[in-house]
Amino acid sequence: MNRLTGGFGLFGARKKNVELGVQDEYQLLTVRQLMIRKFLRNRMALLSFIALVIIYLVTLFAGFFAPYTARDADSKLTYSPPMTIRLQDPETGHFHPPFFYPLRGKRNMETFQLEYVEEREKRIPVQFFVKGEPYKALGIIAWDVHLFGSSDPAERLHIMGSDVRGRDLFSRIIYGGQVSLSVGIFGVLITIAVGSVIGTLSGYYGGVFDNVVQRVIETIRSFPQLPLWMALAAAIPPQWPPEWVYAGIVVVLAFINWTGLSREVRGLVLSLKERDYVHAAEASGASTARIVRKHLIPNMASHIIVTATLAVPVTILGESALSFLGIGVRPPMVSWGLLLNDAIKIQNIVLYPWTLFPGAFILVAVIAYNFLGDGLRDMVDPFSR
Amino acid sequence: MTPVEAVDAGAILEIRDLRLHFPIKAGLLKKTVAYVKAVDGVSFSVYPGETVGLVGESGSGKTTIGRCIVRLYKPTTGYIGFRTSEGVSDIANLDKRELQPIRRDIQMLFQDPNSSLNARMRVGDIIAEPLEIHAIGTADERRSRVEDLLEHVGLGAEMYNRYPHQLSGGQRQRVGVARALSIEPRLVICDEPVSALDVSVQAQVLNLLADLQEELGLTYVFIAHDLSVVEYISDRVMVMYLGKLMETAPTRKIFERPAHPYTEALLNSIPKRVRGGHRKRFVLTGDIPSPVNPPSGCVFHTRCQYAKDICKTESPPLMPLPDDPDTSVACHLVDELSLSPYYTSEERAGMETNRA
Repeated sequence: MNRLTGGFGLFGARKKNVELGVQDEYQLLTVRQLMIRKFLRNRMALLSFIALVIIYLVTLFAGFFAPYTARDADSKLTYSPPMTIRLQDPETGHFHPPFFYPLRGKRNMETFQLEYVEEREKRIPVQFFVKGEPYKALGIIAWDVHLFGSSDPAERLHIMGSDVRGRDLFSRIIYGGQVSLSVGIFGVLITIAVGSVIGTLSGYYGGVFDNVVQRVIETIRSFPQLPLWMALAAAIPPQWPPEWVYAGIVVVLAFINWTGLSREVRGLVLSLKERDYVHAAEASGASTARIVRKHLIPNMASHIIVTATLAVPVTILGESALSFLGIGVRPPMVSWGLLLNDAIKIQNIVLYPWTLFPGAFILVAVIAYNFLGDGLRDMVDPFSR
Repeated sequence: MTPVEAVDAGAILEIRDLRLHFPIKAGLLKKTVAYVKAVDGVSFSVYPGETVGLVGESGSGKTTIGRCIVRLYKPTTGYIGFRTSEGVSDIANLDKRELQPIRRDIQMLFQDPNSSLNARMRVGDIIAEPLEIHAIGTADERRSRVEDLLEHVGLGAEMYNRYPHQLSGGQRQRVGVARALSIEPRLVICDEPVSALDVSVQAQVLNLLADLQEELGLTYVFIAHDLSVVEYISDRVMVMYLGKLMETAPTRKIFERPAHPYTEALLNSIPKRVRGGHRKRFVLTGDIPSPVNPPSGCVFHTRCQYAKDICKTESPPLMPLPDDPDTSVACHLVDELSLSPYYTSEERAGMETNRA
């Protein structure tokens, strides 16, 4: 029985193998267990996975995690810089529960800039689980408790500054994440659905259909990606409501991505359909549907998942680029690219550098997805070292 | 099923003038520029309960014939008569639906057990697949049948939940055997089933196949390139070269009295020690010619040491020997040549006494 596992390194030295009925101190691992092990060993991938789970949870419950809503403006605090949450009084050195000093705007009569100074006399405590603006959690449950916020509704706390209309940037980033991150997911879902179905059909049946599909894909891919996206996004009618525009953008982004996945799937099908286990099923009289379901899909699923994971950041970047250029999602919807649009002018970057914060979030999400995709790619092949 | 007139009444499988030409397509419009003549006019019969060895170099078309019989390929022309209880049907010309009942009777055993088992399926599910496809029995019945089969091929029912990667090469091939036998076929096409295995494991699998044949009354078409394997398991041997049959004969006669120069060359390629030294003999050189443009006349003449002018122009038919109707040879020079055997009948007799 030892021979079963010899040389594979597939056994963990933990439990007795009940199934085998032997007393040796090892157990046979299934492919899935091996994959999970491999993934857990990849620190960056694991870290990225955790980071993404947190980001998605925060954006999913945006109403709770954001201190304000996305549209909640304060005309007295336009372009206010980020406010610091303090524990220590800078003058006396005494420690207090978290608090902040409110900002007071003052017009500089030489430059006509609104300049903000901390009002040190007023110490406003930061409160957790504070009652604030009403929102709908998950879009259904009406609630008004926020994770944190200013204890005084008249004095607003902007931890990442505010925009031209005095809206809290941090809150807008969280709400914007809902759009930016879901565009990635929905775009990739369309990509998977279209790409794998067309790829499987053209790989399995070949012939004229395959020929036509391949030429179409070549045509689409021969255009530079961004201009094509821009052209398609520009074709979305301006009178559409923002939700429709959002759906339109998702479709536009998936329009190019499916071609890559479809080619990959086609290649996989071409190689898998010549495997002997597929021949064995054919020789036994298996239907095409059965071969696809039992033999092709299970052997392709991991590759599709990896490709899809690596396609998510591309889609996120695509949406950001379009929104940044003003042809993506439209206000009152918020997305990270749309928020970055505030930093489109050099003078804004100089005067209000905090308008670059959404870019940092895009960066983190994209990097995390790439590490996750790399980790999944290693995991798919659990026997490699 | 359309009953077809059978010529060879006793045969379970009768192949007449089978041809499979794969088109080669090139250019933008995928025009057919040439054909690969993988199988080019092959006729033979297989009788119930026997094992027919099909040998030849790579590229000789032996695997293609096997795949035509299980209809992984549709032959270009020809007749493949398969006898069932309801009569004889021509497999070569049935459509997918008509083939379905016949697929229960013919199974294939593959060369490489690594690629013939789906790594994502459990051993039990792999073996049960043909049963599922033909909707035989309930899930419970199938399970107990699979467990029986596992015991039968020497694996044990506890292997049911294993994955192929947890098994050794020999064990995997046993799973392949169990899958092929799960729907109780009458004819099994064995496509080099042991060539990917260690020599010691080869013997185990060959013995298993021989035992199962005896027990279940199976008929084998055994494709191999290793003559020693074929010698062990076959009753008759068919030698193929470039899509054509060169010689068919009872196994013993192939080794004791090869009648075709190609058979002699194949036998010479088996390493053998003669009186303490290495045997030095004529060995085939070069590769098998391209089946796209096979040589004119006898396809073997380009590598045949005895070739004469007639061999270059006229293709010899496969004819039974006048003094031995069991042996058929396709060679113009069959009466003139005296070819060297692998061993003489005395040597053979000596080996058999030693074995006993």
